[in-house]
Amino acid sequence: MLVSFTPATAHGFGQRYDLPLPLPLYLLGAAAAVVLSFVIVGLFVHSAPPTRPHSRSDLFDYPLGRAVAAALGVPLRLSALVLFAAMLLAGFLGDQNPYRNLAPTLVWIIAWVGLAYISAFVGNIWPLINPLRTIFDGVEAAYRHICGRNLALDKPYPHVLGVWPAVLLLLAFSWTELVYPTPAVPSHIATFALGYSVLTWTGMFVFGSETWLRHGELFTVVFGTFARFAPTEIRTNPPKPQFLLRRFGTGLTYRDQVSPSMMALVLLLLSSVLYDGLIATPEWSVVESAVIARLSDVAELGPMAVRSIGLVAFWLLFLSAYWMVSIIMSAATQWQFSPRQTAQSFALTLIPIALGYHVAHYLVYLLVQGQYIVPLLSDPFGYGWNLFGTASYRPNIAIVGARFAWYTAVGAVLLGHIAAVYLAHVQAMQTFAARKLALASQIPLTALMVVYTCVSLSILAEPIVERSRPSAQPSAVAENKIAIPADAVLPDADSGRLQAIGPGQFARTKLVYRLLGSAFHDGTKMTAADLLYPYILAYRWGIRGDGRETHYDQSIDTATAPIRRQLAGLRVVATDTASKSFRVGDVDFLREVFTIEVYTTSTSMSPEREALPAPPLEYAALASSCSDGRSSRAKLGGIFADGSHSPRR
Amino acid sequence: MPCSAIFRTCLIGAVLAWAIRAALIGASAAELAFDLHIERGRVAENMSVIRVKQGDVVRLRWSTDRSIILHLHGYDIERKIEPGSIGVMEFTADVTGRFPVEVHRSSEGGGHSHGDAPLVRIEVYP
Repeated sequence: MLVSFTPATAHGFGQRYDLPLPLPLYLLGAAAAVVLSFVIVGLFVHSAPPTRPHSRSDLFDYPLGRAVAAALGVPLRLSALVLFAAMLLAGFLGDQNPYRNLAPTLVWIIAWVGLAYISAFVGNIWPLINPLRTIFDGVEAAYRHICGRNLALDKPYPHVLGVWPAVLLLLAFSWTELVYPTPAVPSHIATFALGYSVLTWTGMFVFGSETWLRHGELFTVVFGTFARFAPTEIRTNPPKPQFLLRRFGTGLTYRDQVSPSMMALVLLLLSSVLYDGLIATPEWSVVESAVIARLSDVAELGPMAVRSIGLVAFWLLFLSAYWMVSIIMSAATQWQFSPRQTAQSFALTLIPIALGYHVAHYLVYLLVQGQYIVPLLSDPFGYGWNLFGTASYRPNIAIVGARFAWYTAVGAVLLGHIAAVYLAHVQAMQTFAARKLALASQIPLTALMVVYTCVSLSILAEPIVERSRPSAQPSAVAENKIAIPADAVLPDADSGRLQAIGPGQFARTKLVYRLLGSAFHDGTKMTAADLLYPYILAYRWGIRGDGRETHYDQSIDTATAPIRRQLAGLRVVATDTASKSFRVGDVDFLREVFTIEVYTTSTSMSPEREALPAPPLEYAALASSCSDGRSSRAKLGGIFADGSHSPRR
Repeated sequence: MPCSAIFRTCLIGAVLAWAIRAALIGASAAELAFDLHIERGRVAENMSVIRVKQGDVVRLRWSTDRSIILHLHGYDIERKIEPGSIGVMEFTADVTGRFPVEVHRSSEGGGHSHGDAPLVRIEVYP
C-alpha cells in the first residue's frame, strides 16, 4: 500500500474525504435551525418545562450492575495502561511512518475522538481508566505503604486559578493538533505525551492527585465537560460508588454558575472544533495565502503563524460574541444578574452545539480512519508482527458513503442545536424567578445559537462560491464502459480453469441473466457451477495449443471462437431460492434462480448480432435484463422462456 | 385476499424499481477522460476540480514539464510522470468523497509540501 505523510490541513492525522454538504441540504438545515428554535421558544411560552426532580436510578443498586462494573473495571484500567505504554514505546522505538505506528491512530483518533464520544453519549469513563492517574495512584499507594505518609505535598490550590491550567493546555493541545506541522510523526507524539505526563505528575505531586485532575488535567476536564451531556453519572466518592442514570443534558443545567475559566474552556472547545473544520476547507487555503501575501511587506508570516493567530482569534471572537450576548441578556432581564453572572450561568448550554458539530465533523473520520487501529493493534511498532492475526486488515474507505455523511452531519448539528436551545430555556427557568424575564433572556441567546449553528453548517457546506466553480470538462466521454468487478472470473486459456480477473478491467457490455435452475434428468440439482461449465468447455476444448494436448476439438474451436474473443468476465452474483418458489397443493416447487453477470468486449451495436456469449444455451432463461436496456432474451434464440423445461445433458 | 394483493403489488413494484435502478446504473456509468497538463507544479485553473458521478470510469492523462510523482489519495494511485510522455491514472469511481491529487516531488526527498493546496481535487458524488 502506498503511504504518504498527511498534509497539515487535516485534523492531527489521517485523511478526510468529505464532500461539502449539498446546497439544498445546507439551506434546509439552516431553515430548520431557525424554525425549531421558534418551536422550542413557543413551547416554553405556553407551558413551563417539567421541573420534576429527575428520577435517578442507580445501576449499582442492582447485582448485575455491580457484577459488570467489577468485571470491567480493572481490565479496562489495565488495558488503558498497556496501550499508553505501548503508545510511548511505539512512538520512540517503532517505525516512524504514521500508518505503520500505533501512536498517531491511537492518540488522535481512538483516544481524542473516540473517548469524546464515549464521554458524551455513554458516560465519563476517563477518570476510571486514566493511565496517568493509575500510575500516580499506584506509586503513591506504594510510597504510603513503605514510608507511611502521603507522597503528594497537598499544597492548597489557588482558587482563582480555576481550570485555567486546563484551558491553556487545551489551547496548546489544539495548537499541536491543528497548527503544528508534524502532529502525525510518532516520535513527536511520544515526546509530547511524555512531557505532558511529567507535567501532570508534577501537578499531582504538588497539589494532590484529585485536585490537579479536576483543575489541570486537560483530558479529565475536557471529557468531564462532554460527559455532563451523557445519560449517566459516575460517582466514585464515598460513602458508596454510584452509577446513576439521568436524561441527556441534565448535567449541563445547574443552579450554580461555572467559573470564568470554565466558560473560557467551553468556548474554546466550541471554537477549536469549528476551527478544525474551517482550516480544512479549500477556501481557508485561499484566505491564508491572501493574508500572507498582504502582510508580506509588514512581517514575514508563514502559514503556521497565520494559523496560530487564527486559532486564538477564533476563540476570542466566539468569547466576545458570547460576552456581548450576555450583556444584552443582562439588560433584557433588568440587570437582575450582571453580564458576567449571566455568561457563567449559560456557558454550559453551548456544549450540545459543540458536540453536534463534533459528530458532524469527526464521526465519519472516526469510522474510516479509526479502522487503522485494527491492523495496528497486531503490529503496533511496524516490525511486521501479527499479535492478534489482524495485521493484514485493510481499511475500507467506502464503509459509509457521502449520503450517510451528509445526513448524519445535518442531523447531528440540528439535534445539538435543539438540545442547546432547550437546555438554555430550562436553565433560564431555574435562574430567573419570573417566567417573563426567563423568556426575555432567551431571545438573544437563542439568536446566538442560531448563528453558531449556521456557522457550523456553513463550514460543512463551505461557502457557496466554491459550489459555483465549474468542474473540469472531460476531453473524451465514452458511454457504456463498464468496470468489471475484481472477483469476476475468466477461464484460463491453457487449462480452462477459472481465474479471477483482478481489478482494473473494463467491458463494453454487461448482461445480467437470471436463470431458473431445475433438476437434471437423473435428479441431481443444478448448481451455479453447471452454468459456468460450458464456458470452461469452450476454452478447454476450443484452444489449439502446441498440438500435443489431448483436449482440442476443431468444431468447438470454430463454434466458440466469437465467444472467446469477446468474453471479458463471468460472475455468479447470487443464488436465490426464495423468490420463485411456489406451492401447488401438497407439492412444493422449490426453484433456484441463479443470477450471473456476463461481461463482453463487444459494443453490441446491433441486437441481432449472434456473437454475444449467452450462458449455456440449453438452459432455460427465466428472465433477463441487459445493461443497455434491451432484453437479452431475444439473443438467446430457442430458449424456453417459461422456465419449466428441464435442462438436457 | 386483499392482503396478498397488496403484498403482490408491493413485490412487483419492488422488482420494477430494482430493474429500473439496475438499468439506470448500467446506463449512466460513463467513461470520462481528462487531459491535464502540469506546468510549474500547477494545472490550468479550470481543471483544478473534477466532478464525476459514482460509478464513472475516470481516466486522467497527465503531461508535465518536469519529472514529478503524483499521488491520488483514497484510491491510492501513484504515478511517476516524465516530461514528454503521458502518465495515465485510470480507476472506477466507486467510493464517494473528495480526493486530492498531490505532488510528491521526486527530487526533494519525497516529502510533502505541507499545507499546499492539492494539485487537483476529484469529487465523486453519489
